[in-house]
Amino acid sequence: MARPVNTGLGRVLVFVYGLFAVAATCRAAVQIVLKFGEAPVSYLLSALAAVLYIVATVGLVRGDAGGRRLAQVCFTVELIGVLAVGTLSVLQPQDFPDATVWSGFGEGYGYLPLVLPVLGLVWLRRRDPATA
Amino acid sequence: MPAVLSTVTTIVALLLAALALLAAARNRAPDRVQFVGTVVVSVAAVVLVGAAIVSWIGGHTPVEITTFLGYALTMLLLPAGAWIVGRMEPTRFGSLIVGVAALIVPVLVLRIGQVFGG
Repeated sequence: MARPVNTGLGRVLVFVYGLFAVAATCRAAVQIVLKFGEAPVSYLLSALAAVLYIVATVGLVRGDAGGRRLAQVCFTVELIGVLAVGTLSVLQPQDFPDATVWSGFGEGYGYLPLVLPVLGLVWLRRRDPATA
Repeated sequence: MPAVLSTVTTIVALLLAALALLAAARNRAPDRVQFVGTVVVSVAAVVLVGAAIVSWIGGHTPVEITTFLGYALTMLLLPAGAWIVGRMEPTRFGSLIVGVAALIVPVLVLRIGQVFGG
């Protein structure tokens, strides 16, 4: 039986992911409601990031096999997203008239959007070598 | 919104962050000292948000009203929320949660200043 993923460092991840879920959801909601026309791509990306943070938090809190897989998928998509959007926002800033959570590899959020999925994947792997 | 309130909130939050992160480094669970620190930071947050709202009533409308309300609510709930989650984890990681939350408070103070406007 695998050790729990939602205690110890896992609880810190749950807390920080929960905060990011709230922050990203509110940010995306405000942007989409008040000024969607200005930068639709940026704001939709913000909304996508928000959904991923919510689902990852739920997966971690659940902590069962399904929850782990859910969290693992979210972490992976986030990592790809933050790397892709980060690279694009540096190479072609004109495509991103307004910043997203992932712009500049998450520089607006202390690079946590880049660090968190890596930390999450390492954590899941350490707690359950079978799924690695 | 007096600058001194922002400064005081930032300083007490950084003190709590130092205390809690040190406790995490020394393998200590959240203790009474961190609880007192959390209460002090919460009081500072309430006073800061209260002062902003008083100045709003006095005629200074926030530059970005929705965002200001969001950040203000977050800052009021964050220290207490972190304490509750931290106590659910009676290990060094509980202290880490309290410390991380305390590190976020100065960022919130900064953003509240920006979206409220001088």
